[in-house]
Amino acid sequence: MVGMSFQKKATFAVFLFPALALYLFFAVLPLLQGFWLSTTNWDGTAPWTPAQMPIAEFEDRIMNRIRSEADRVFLLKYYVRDEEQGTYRKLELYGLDRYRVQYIIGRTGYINPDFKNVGFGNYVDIFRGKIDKRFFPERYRESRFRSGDPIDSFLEISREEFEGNLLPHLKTPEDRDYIQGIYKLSGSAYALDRERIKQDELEIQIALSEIAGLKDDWEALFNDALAIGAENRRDALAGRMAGIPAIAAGTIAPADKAIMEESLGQAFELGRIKGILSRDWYLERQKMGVLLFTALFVVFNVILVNVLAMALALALDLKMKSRNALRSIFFIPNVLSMIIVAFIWQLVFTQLLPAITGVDQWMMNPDLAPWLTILVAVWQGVGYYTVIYLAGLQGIPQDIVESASIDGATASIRFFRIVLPLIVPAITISLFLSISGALKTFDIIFALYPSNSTSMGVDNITVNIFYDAFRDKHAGLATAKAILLLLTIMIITGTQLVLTKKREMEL
Amino acid sequence: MFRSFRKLSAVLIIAVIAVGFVAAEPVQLTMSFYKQEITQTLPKLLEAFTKANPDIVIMTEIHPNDGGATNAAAAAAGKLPDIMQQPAYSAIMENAKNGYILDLSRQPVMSKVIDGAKPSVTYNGKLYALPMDFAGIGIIYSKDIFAKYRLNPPTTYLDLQKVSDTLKKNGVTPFAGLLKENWSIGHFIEMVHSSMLGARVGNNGIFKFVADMNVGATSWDKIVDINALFKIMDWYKANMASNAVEMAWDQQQAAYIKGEAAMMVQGLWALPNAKDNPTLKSGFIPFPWSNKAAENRFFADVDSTFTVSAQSSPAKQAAALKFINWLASPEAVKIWTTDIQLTSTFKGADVSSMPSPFVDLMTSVNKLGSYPWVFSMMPTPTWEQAVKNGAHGYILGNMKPSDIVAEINSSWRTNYKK
Repeated sequence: MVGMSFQKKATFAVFLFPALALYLFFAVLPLLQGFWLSTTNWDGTAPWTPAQMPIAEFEDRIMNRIRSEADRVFLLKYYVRDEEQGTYRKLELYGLDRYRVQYIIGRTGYINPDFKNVGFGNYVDIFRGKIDKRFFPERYRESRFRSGDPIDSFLEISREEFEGNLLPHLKTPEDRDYIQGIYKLSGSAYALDRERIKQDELEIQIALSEIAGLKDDWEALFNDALAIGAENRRDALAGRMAGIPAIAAGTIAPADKAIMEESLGQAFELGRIKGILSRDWYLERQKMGVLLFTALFVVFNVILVNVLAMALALALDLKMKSRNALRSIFFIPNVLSMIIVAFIWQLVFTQLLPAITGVDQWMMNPDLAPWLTILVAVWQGVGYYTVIYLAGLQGIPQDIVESASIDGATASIRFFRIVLPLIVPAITISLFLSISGALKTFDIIFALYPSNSTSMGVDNITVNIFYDAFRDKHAGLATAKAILLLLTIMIITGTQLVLTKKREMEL
Repeated sequence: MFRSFRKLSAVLIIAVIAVGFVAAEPVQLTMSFYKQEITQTLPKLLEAFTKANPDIVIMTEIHPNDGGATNAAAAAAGKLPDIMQQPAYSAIMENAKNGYILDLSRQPVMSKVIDGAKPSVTYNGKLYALPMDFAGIGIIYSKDIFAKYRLNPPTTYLDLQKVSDTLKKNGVTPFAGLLKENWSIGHFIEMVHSSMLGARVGNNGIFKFVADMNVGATSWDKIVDINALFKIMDWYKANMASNAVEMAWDQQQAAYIKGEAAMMVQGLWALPNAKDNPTLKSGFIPFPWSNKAAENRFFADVDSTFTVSAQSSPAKQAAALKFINWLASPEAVKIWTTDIQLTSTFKGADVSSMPSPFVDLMTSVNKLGSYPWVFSMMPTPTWEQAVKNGAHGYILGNMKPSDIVAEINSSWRTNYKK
């Protein structure tokens, strides 16, 4: 009995206590510090204690407010008076001395306005939506035409586009009549009537710029004609022309005047059609935002990784000559560095696929980008989970499977009634790892989209936290998001563990 | 005997000191730099410094693109590199405000810097960085392609449209794109916006605009015709290859070097290396956004600077300051302009050995003046998120001009810290 007690104490002292101490130091303490940071407005760069401060200000705001002589002496060990700079400058701080310096300066009432307590303000802002709107899903209109686009982009409009994304958006019967009058269905597309729109902007500008009397006025006249056309105020065009000094003075040759009237008439028509197209030719779309993309990524990543890993494990469990080689091949992506993985897939998306399919845009297609990201993540992760499922499969006693087979159980019955129930522990651990891993994914997105994940809409929560902290300098807010992510992971994986463990017990 | 012993002791002491001196470890400094294009050439500068100062060795680490983020993390940990290459204006102001960098006002090297470069590194009346190069963003064009189609470098927007039209009719892409990443289109939108602003209110008006934006007294679209700005963006994209959004730095360079495209809107950091492309002849002109030729000036300003960390030990700071002061020496200036191929902000620096596009830049700036880099003066989160990602989102079709303007206004006001 005494021996047991000693053994327990020794076990605690040698194994458990150090583990607990390390856990407290490396997990709990940073978590607490993180929570504290999440209650500040820290920008990620401002120092908690001044890095440098003018001599007079330091003595007035810090030194004169320290009551203890020992504290004063201690502080001056780390703050050197630099006469050349005219400042007190903080030296590098290590260990507990850092906290003592913070404590001493904190007691003087010094607060850096860029590093002050804001209570639960960051959490409130998140829940009230008072943060970057890219965080939340949002509907938006994708313009199919913009005013600076060339004439080639609207000479022909596919029937699907014309009838689906343009006609239904036209506001007035007048606009509708105009567009239906100027575009005629020809085969599978609506073609612009080139009798009415004969010139593009460049041709009109060249014509106007070559009219001697319009030397200083042609550009303003051209832009006004476009704007008047966009507003469909044909009467205003004549008034605008009459106001040109050279016209009023009658110094423009009749031939030039005819060219000018023809060109401005064309500019008016272009302005009208461009005005309508840029306003009413659009597609209603949905931005996923950080939240929805994270959810999409997690759901599809977890499902695909586990289903594919299970399928591969079943295949690799068959008695094939090449199975050991195949196991290695499928596991290799997991061994590769994520940078290499990103490099390989960038080559595939930017070189191989365009060459094979003739489609230029893959990675930078906002519709494809989320799915390509999931594809790479699944490709990289599936080998790891295959190994877990394979281990589970190899733990199943073969005699049970063979007995079922002799009793006439089909392959699907054997799988669902025998194999699947017996590998539930493997499913439990795979789901736990894949869910928590998918929620924390950072490297795949950062490597595939190094400076454009935000504009491509493939920032997940961890990438968003990184950018909040280090690019947008909202470290306090970023830490609040990180704390919420931690809680989310704990709740989701905790629920999953309870449910799958319960299933294990039932079986 | 006693005297001999004293002599022997003295000799021993001197020998020990001498050995100690000879064997003393050199001061090892770390330097971060963000200009990727100088990765191959920067070591030559550092080796020359170490040759002149054998007691100091400088090790480099590259912080490309996200240099600000990396430095922020290092500053928070108290581990800033001893010497940092940083962009002018906001990065300097923010670090100076936090006390992370030394005041260099009293360093002798500062008297050799041209006065026009000093506002870019001034915070509260003190100089916190050494301005190193003056850079311009404009159009790098292929002289060979222009000559082949008998084109003159355009001086107005109409000329530019004509040139592009001719190129397209001859199967040449006008502009080599770089739309996969957000920074180049961020430069473009800022270049046109600042140029429109400068043409309207002059460069002093630009500085007032920045001051007003800092306190929310104006808005990004108040002075500039935003519709005209975005129309130029549309035109620019329409004059690139159809796969321009899939093109990053390497693809842009390749398209220009191979002659598939005749122009690229870039700074001279993107000028293809003459040693690797001896037959490629390039010219450099301001982007002609206006039909009034005199309004088309380079978008140019102080680009990179060097700062010294206030977190380093006094010995390392002294060594770093030695390097900073050495940079104005003729040897250093020569390496900087000839090997590293960046312009110099030192008075009387000889840039005659630089490739002709640099001469184009300096000639144009001296003749017509330039528009300053407002993007360097705005809060860095505004530049990184609202402008770069906003412009990139517009190109990708998921942001509209009004959203971009609203985000820039709001981000600038909330992120500016006095």
